[in-house]
Amino acid sequence: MKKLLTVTALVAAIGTLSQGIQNLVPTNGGSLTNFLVSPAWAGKTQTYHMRVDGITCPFCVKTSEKALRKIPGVKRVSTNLKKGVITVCASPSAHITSGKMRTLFTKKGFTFRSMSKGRSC
Amino acid sequence: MRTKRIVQCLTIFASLTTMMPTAQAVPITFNTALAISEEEWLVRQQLIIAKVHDDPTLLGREFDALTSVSVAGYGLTKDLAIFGILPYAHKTLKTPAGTRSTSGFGDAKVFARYTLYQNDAPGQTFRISPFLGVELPTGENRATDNLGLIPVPVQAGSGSWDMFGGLVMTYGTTDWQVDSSVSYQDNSKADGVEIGNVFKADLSLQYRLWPTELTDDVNGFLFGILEANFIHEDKTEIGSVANLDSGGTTLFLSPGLQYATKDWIAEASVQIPVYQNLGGTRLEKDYIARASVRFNF
Repeated sequence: MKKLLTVTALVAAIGTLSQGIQNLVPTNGGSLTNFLVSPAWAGKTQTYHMRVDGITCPFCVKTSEKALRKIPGVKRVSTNLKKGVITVCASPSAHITSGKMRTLFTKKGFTFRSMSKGRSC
Repeated sequence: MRTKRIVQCLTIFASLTTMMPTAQAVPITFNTALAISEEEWLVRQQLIIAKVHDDPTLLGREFDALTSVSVAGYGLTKDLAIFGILPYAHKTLKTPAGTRSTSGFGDAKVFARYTLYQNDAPGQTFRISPFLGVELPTGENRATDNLGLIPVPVQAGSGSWDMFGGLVMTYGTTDWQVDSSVSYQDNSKADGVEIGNVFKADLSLQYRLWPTELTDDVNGFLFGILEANFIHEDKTEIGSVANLDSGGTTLFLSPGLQYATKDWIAEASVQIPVYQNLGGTRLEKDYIARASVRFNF
């Protein structure tokens, strides 16, 4: 009976520990595995999803993508025109921050709303 | 020597077309409120053919103009852009007395446009931009031929410094865009001639015809465009006396097509006069055809 209680407590402790680690995973989701290989741990490239308002045309897309590609460390840029979401794949050296992106898109004449980090890319 | 110069021009043009990115859906016959990004350039080359053959008298007069208009714009800040416009025209007026014609640079325009209001949403934008500028007396306004001083409408320029300004509004989505503009040009007197002041009100609707659905790998959009241009011109005064055969009101409807890629725009439209109430025996317009290309870089 005592052994059974010990095993039960051990299982509960592992569960609690696992949940705690899961809570450390970035809020944009992803598995524990993804978290462990994420740029924060591994120094690899990461995906950033930026919501930018006011982009309505091919020109707007090009001028935004061109500005982003000029940032050292940015690997890939793509745009979902309908949703107004620009996706950037960049290494940590690009130092992609909300403040930096707000300044960049303001200069281009658009409105930067928000940014979320995705999986490694 | 001439061949060498043509080759040089073609080389420069080819270089520009390969180095310049981008373009967007915009009105063909007037400006838009969409901004030029900070430290970016826009250039446009436009060819305009005007046929004005409808003579209310029995004289059979005919006026034709072929104009090349070069436009350059630069984004000084995210809100403030400056523009320069330089026309080069060949004008011909056929009258019973003979043919009168001029060729040369017309009056250049420089103006600034400021984004006063901007409201962006996902895939949408609404902007209001006032603009203010001046038309410079760069065109010849006292040209003569063997019949004497060439009539005012055939002269390449006005000879006067003329202020103009207005307001342009744009509401754009990924599927369609509407632009509207009102403007006023206050012409001053030069060499005893004061060309009438001009009021314009313009409306442009652009609708994406192709592709019908947006995808991630679209390289070019084809827009169908319908524009309306209302123009009211005051009478020209010659020696403080109003010329009764000048001024008037015209309303154009202008259907057009525009192909916009990430790198350039090609467009064409025809301005068809649907209403003309012109002064005296002034010639009425048949049409004005436009074709142009634009690049941003």
